[in-house]
Amino acid sequence: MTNQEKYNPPRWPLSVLRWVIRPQFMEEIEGDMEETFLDDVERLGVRKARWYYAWNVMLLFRPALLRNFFRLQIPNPADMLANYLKTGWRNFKKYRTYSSINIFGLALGFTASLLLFLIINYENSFDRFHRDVENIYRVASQWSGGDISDMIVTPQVPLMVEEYTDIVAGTRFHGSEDMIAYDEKFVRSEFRIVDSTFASVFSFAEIQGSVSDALSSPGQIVLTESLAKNIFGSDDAMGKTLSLVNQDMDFIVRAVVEDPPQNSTIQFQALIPWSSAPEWLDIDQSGNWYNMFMTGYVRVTPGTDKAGLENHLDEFGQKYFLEDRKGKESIVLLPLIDEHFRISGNRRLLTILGIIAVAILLISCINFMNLSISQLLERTREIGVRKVMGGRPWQLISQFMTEGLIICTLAVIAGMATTYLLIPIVQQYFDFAIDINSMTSLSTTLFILAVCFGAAVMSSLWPAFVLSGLQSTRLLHGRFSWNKTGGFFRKGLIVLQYAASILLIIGTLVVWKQIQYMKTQDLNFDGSYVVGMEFFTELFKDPALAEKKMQTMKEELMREPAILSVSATNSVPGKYWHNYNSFSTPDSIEPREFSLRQLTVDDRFFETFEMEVIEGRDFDKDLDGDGSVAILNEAAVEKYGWTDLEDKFLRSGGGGELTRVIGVVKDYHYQSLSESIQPVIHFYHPEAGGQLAVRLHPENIQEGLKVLETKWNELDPFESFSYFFVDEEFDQLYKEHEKLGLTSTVFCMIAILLAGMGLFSLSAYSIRLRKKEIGVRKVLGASISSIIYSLSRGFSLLVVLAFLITCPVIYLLLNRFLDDFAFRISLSPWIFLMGGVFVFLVSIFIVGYQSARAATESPVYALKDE
Amino acid sequence: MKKTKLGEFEEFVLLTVALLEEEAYGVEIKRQLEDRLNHRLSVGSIQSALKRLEQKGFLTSRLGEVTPKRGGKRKRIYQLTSYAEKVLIELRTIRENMWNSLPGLSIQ
Repeated sequence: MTNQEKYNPPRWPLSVLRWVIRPQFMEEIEGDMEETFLDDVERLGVRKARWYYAWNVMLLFRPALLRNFFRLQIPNPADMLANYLKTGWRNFKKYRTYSSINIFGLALGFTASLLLFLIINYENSFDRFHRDVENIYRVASQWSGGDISDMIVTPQVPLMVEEYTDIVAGTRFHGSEDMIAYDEKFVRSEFRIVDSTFASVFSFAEIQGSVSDALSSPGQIVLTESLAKNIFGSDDAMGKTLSLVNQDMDFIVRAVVEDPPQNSTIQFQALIPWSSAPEWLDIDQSGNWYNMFMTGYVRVTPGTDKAGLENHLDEFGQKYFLEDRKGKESIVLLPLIDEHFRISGNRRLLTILGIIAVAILLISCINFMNLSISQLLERTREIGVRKVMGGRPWQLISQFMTEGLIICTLAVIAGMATTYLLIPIVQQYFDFAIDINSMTSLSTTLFILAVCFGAAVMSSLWPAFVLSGLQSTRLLHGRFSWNKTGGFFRKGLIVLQYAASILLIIGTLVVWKQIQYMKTQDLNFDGSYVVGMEFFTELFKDPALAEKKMQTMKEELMREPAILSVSATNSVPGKYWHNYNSFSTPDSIEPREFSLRQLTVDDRFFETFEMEVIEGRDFDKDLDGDGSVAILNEAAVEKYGWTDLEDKFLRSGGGGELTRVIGVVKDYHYQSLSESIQPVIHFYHPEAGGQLAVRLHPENIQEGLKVLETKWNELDPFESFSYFFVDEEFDQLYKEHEKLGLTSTVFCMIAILLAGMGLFSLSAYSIRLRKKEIGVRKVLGASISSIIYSLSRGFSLLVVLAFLITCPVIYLLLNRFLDDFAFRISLSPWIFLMGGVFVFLVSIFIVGYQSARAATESPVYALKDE
Repeated sequence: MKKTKLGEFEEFVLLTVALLEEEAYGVEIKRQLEDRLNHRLSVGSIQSALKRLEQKGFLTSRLGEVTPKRGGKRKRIYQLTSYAEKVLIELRTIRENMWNSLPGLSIQ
């Protein structure tokens, strides 16, 4: 018997046993277990017996012995659900206004955020259709200064594939435009010259033939479906021979692929193999290590460490790159999945849209939550009865959840229908691409379900917890003031809601102010009345004849009274395309070398754009002949640290000839004001080509355009005359920003509407609760204005509080946004004040209106009942 | 014979209870069965069989005396119901009849 005192069953298995076994079996089983344990102690020793005991406790987990943790007498769930639905519907009808506001608000918020979600989803879908897309990279190089140059030299990609086993395949990708001729028919097409391994890097869907076969030998071409249709109509394109007019080459169609989807950064209409590349392109194939004008892509083996590969590629650069690139540039790999964001630069835009979506969703969920809570608090008697009749907390929660879920489902369905109808409008007016099919995609479905359930859970869980925890007597009494329970919580929600709307308003104001600022800044050139047009021999049917005519055309145009000035240039401001080269001073000791943007212009460029040459002189046809002079902008001169232009020369990278710097032009904005002004060099060439910029006489614009059109048609072009005004084109640079501005305006309005609706119903509710108080006050002689004041004060204070706590957040966020712009406005307190005052006025109006209504009502009505 | 829903193990337990008479409580049943089946059993398996049998109406039980070895907990003494006795006898008769008509497989 001493055993008993000495050896007790191990403690925690025993407590597990006591916890899980049905109480009515407890004594017996615990006794049996203990008896067995003591037997085991004698038989096996204490240690083993203890283990054995624990093991036996595990074996006690049998349905017949376990305590029924859900042993409540549950009525038929279907009946209960029917009951919930019925009471839910009655309440819906009883509080019709609230319920409609609730559904409408939720549907509105849901529509807005679903649209934004689809937009973001689309932007994220770029290039994802390629198989193993995460292993595809674009080859680029990075200057030690940090600038990325995404162009490569001709031999780089094939050699990289050859030397690195990690690189499975690679292709060069060089684009050009040409007219395709087939059977007297001319179609302009964007064709790309690619390596035969193109199809092992990318996966564009083949319709007929095989891309890799087609690209394997010269003289063959791959067409996209739409181009094939354009040329051949309904005839089969396969095997037909067509010619590229300016390349002067014939090709046989060997494959037809689907058009590259819109969400592909790689676009083409036709592909021709590198073996058919025009001679100038492939010239000096093994030695052309200086000219960078094509793009290249590689596919690496799955699991390759990108950084490691890049390190290895540095050795490649050291081995092959030209002397002046060595050590200054390193080869980098740009993931294809990031390519769209890199090019469009709209990752920031997407972040902002994401913030807007979350803010709107938050506002509408809070609305929903606040309204549901108000409604449930009205129903304390019902809840009390349910509790007295044996309703469990989880049953109350599931009742509220059912109601919330029904409202959410209705709102979500309404929202989805609206979204579906709105998509075409969004595509057209906001210029956002949305794939309508993605409405049914997995991620969208998950998003919808998450929102639906999230809102339902959020709106029902909190009141359920509060109400189910309260004493039934208090609930039945109906004496239950929401000011004490959760008043703080709900006020917090209102503050959050207002903070979100204030953020959106001030953000929108700042976006517009920044756009306004960029548009009104002095660009240091005048693009109004300047017409730009494409102008190069390949645009005309007889290039040789066109070339001859073009030489005299400039002079002829100058003689027209409607035309003030004509300039040939390879680039006009606002349409600048990146073209860099490095230029060094010819000093034998310590030459200074910098990367400059380069332009080739004729002698009337600065005159036509009214740019100011502030030092030295403008180009002069007679003095400069056709050679080797250049004009820098101020930024470039500063970079070289020159104070005068005496005997200043520059030599271009790759061993070009010496160029004399003869003048300095005042820094002008050749690109949008979100970019800073970089050093630019302007080369002189009397027949600079590509674009024609024509300054028209301000009073004779129509006539000037007519002259240009006549001259254009004289050259026998493939296509009809088209032109653009340089200032308008420049403003196009802000299209993305205006899109952002417009979007945020619309969504900001939605947010304010939602927040206003929330405030409206909540203040109506709280005023109703204080109806008696107002009646008593009035009877005792309070003035209407003092009642309005006392009713609105609380809500107004919340708005002020929201404003105060959001300001620092907004300041930080917007400063980060504005830092993206090289030329930016500063954040003045006025913008903040404007946004704050606006929200304040709106909320005062809403609350004040209702307070006034309550205050002017005769106290008889408020006091008569009870 | 109607379907009685009596498993093999349950039948053993019933027989053990009948065998032990006044001593038929959990641990004793377990000891007996372990000896006869030559196989270790857990308290859980015996107890769940007992509870099931009681629920099916094969067993009744009452609380017994306290022994110090059980840490002051009372035993629960099980007893066969007449229904159980009937079923057991019925099962045995059916089996014997069948065995008898199987001359080739008789026990050596």
